Amino acid sequence: MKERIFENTIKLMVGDGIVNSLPYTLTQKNCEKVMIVCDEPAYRLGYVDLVKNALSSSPIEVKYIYKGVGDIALDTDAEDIARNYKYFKCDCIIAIGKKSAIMAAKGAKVLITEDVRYVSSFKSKGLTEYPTDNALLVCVPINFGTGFEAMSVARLYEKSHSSIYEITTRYAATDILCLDTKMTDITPPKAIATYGLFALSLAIECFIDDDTNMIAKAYADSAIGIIYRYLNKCIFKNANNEYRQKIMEAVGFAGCGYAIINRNELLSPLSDIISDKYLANFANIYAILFRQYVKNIELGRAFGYALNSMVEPNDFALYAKESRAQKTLAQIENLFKNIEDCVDFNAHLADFGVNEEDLESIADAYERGNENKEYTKDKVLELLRACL
Amino acid sequence: MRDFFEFSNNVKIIAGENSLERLPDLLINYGGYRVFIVSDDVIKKCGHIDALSKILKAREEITIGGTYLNIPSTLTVQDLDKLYIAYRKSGADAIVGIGGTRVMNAAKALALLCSTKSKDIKKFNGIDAAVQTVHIPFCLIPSTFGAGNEVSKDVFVIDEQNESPIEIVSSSVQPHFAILDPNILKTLPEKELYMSLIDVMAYSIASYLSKRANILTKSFSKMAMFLIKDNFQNVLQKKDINAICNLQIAASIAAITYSNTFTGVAHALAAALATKCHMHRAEAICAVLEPVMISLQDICKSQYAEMLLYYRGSQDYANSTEDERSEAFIKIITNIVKHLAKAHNVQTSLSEYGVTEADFDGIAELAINDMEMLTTPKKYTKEEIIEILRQAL
Repeated sequence: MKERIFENTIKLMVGDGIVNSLPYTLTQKNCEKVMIVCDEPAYRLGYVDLVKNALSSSPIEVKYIYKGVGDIALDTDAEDIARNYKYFKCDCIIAIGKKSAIMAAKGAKVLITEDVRYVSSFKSKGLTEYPTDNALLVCVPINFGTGFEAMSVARLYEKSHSSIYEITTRYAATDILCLDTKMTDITPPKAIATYGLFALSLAIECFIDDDTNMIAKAYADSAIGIIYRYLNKCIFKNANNEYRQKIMEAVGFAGCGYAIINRNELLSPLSDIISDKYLANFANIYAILFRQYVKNIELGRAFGYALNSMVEPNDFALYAKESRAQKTLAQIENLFKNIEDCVDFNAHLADFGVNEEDLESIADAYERGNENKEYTKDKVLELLRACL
Repeated sequence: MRDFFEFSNNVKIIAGENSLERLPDLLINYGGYRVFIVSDDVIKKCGHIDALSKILKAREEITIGGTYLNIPSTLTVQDLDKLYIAYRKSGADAIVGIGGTRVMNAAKALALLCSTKSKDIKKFNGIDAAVQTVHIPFCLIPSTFGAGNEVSKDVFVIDEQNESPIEIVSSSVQPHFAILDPNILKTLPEKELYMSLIDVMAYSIASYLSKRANILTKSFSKMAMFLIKDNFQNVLQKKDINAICNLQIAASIAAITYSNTFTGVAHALAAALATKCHMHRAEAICAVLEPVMISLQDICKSQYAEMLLYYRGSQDYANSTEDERSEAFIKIITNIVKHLAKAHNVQTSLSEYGVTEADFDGIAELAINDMEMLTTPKKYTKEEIIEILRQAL
């Protein structure tokens, strides 16, 4: 019998104004001194103030605000955050912003946990096997999230080597994920469409991964259910808090589910390569790749189960078991088409400036960075061409 | 729409045959080197303590500080004090609880005291009153699987001085990790195994119907139901070890869910019957489940229909009309309960446990004030509760 491990200990907090519940939650976690890490938009748009104001009514002190994270999380950001965290004797990091702020905070958390000063130390001595110190990490995304908040990975750009360095450890995981609709009140429909379809992709992965389990499927089931009921509504009425909250929930759930299963060894690195090279939105690239990838996988019973999350029970019961997987696939494609029709969603790699001539170099980059023999260069190229 | 919701599960779950062997690595992973084992004589007689000790001793970094087996069926503050003193004397830096409900309850209470540096359990009475200040690696290894105590957030202690219960609901009582090894269930008496199955079903249904249920908790309940549907026949007929493990997982999933939603009237009644009439919780559930489900039928019609799909699959669902589905669901659940009860000589009426009409008032009073009633989908009057008891008599 195969051993199964279920680990996702993230506390999810969702709602309009839910950041106001942070003082209570942090007090429960015994936090007293907080460090805030943010990017420029989070600061400029007043989202940091929302969190500060919420904390001001409690005995929790904001000891330092690190505002220096740019569009990409740098190793030096993580190092600076960790240094200040220790200097101010903090016991909690609240990361507010987009992916880069969250990644920098995750990197800092690993440095603090491992008690090292430089990210480069991990290359020489690796991760400590059994660290015991821990810094509480709260993530407050100001977009719909990318699922990265939930994952046990910190992804940093190493300035000195001009390369991306990934640290995978459970100590890079978020402890509390706080999804507040007040942080997404100016999200345009196109972005909502992107995050919704990205969440759908992650959620479907939770049904098809070889090592999936029922907890991952439970998260995925909720995410898919929400996306099919609310994504269209949210795109058309993006000012509606209820709809935005629903889609934020879906992205959060999908991320939590995906964090439990194996990372897709084809789509994830390929999306990284393309989004880095063309400065494209990772979630958008992932969704484009997933749409084509899913058409070529072996459709098993588990895939058919996902249909249960997409349609009402009455409709689900009408499909014979053997036809459910095909119907699931059709439902996925229908949603993509539907969204494409109603919003200017970037549905092709070409929309990001990728040309036929670039595909070879992307496939080469994938081959260089990945040892997975299952995905040959030809297979990668075939997928890329389908997405062009 | 509810404005806010929160969902959490702090427990890492490791499930599978022989997963007990992972314990030393996991303890070290969480910084535990000197272990205090909480268990009872039954578990020792079954050989599980010896097996556990052997596994721990195989790793030279780990020592066993002490083993405490004197766990009573109802934990009092005084019992807990003795347990705490034994732990302190042992010089241990980690707690491992192996056993059934009472062992896990005691281990959770002990871990709460240790991690909060407190000697007074009474001050944690209620919801979320505890704040951890010390990291004590804590693991639970269940020898039954009904209530999913290994992941649930509740602890129950009796304050014998004031003759009152201390009910603690807090994530601070959850272990860091739980090991679900079906080998440990091999020694579980058949009757206990089936009672556990009824427990899991009841929890998954109650949390699905809870007023605090949301789309995520419903998905968790749904997955627990799928696991029950796909595995319970294999457990009943073949005692298949993989199927047993899947039911253990179902119990944990159901418990993660009810830890976020609470349960409802059936469990409030079961707790009251356990307190007033000393009934086993699963036996009480067997007796009250049908009248409780009937009492909720009008307002939970659509949820019953959905659960019919999860418990029985699409064919039964498609073959019944919308009106028939809730009826069919009640019938299916009560038939399973009755079938299991009959096969193992479990009485399904309260009178067979010595409950009489004279007891109703006290039971109803206790049940209606239980915090589980806060999330039941219908507001019950005392008379309605008494009516349920009457039907279950």
